[in-house]
Amino acid sequence: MGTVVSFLVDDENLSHELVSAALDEACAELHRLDNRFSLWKSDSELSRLREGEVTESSSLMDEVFELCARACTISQGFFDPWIMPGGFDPTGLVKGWAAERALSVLDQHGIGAALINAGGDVCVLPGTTYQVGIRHPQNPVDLCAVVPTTSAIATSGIYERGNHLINPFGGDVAAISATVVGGRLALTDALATALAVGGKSVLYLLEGIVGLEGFFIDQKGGMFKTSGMIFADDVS
Amino acid sequence: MKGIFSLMGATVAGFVGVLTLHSPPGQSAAVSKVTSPTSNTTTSSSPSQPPSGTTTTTVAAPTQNVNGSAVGQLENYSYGQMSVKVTITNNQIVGLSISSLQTLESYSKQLEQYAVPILKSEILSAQSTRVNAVSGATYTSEAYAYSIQNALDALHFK
Repeated sequence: MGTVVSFLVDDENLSHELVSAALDEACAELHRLDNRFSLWKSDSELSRLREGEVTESSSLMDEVFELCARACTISQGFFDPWIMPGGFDPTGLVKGWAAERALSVLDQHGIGAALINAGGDVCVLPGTTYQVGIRHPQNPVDLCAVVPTTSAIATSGIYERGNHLINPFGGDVAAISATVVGGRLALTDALATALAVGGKSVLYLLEGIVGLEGFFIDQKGGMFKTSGMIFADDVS
Repeated sequence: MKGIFSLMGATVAGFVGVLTLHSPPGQSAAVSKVTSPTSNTTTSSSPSQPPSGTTTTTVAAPTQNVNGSAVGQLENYSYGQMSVKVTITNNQIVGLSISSLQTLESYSKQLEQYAVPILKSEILSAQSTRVNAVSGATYTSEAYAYSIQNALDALHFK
């Protein structure tokens, strides 16, 4: 996946050995998933599926298929890994899903409070509120918002990698930056991509989903948000 | 305030490093892990590439306060080379800046303007209480992390 994953672990009352073991295993899980789902690796299961070298998919691949189908349905097609050039490309979902799985490894080791940030897609263990800053797309030294986060938050945008997003319905990508908060990160991640592509169309969809909120910034710098979107006070 | 810094390195299928920052007692610890695709030739030619195989190094808390600044070595990233200056006061990373950034194409101007500040705030935010994380795209992370590590080594900040 070629990205940085950072872990924030509350290690109070936990031994160094326990935290180290948990982090080692979480990292190992990320590497296993990277080996299976990387599009950079020609021998990954995903690459081999795309090339038609294998036809049977693993149970993990099936899980990704299923999540992609759900994200496609929820976003009414604005997230659609099946229309990407080069074949099925679940990258917009897999990064968040992998972070989710790494987080559950920490949970299984008895870590009570932790945050994982996979290249800007963030998930946290329930029970703690974390303040997550949202990179300002036009003024990179600033944050454009700080969002209290208790489960997951993802931001998609065209400001760093250039326009790598595709509107399945043709036309422009609506937002230069789009953030979705709540729910589980696999879907939150995919829906942030959908929101960046679809803008207001997807914002209306989010408005109707309990537990998910979001906002986006359009090409002119205007910000649009769902009615339940909550920001921290200290945006400075 | 006593800080603990430990470095864990692990190499799987090529090129992977793990950077651990244990904040002072009472705060959370943060770890940055760097992965890169093995097919990416620019990163695999990085001069500070860790040895193949799996290595884990854990270093105990420093016995003395670490203070000072150091510039990490120039690291290759996908679009050029970069190095990072790190400043430490009382075992806390208080400053990170790009010491030099050489980019190849006009595309990289984007990185200069956007990616680098993102990464900077990401590392610093690990020690800040205001924001626990930054959401948004990241890219040049790997070279950044290794140059930081190199600078920390130069400061004997373990």
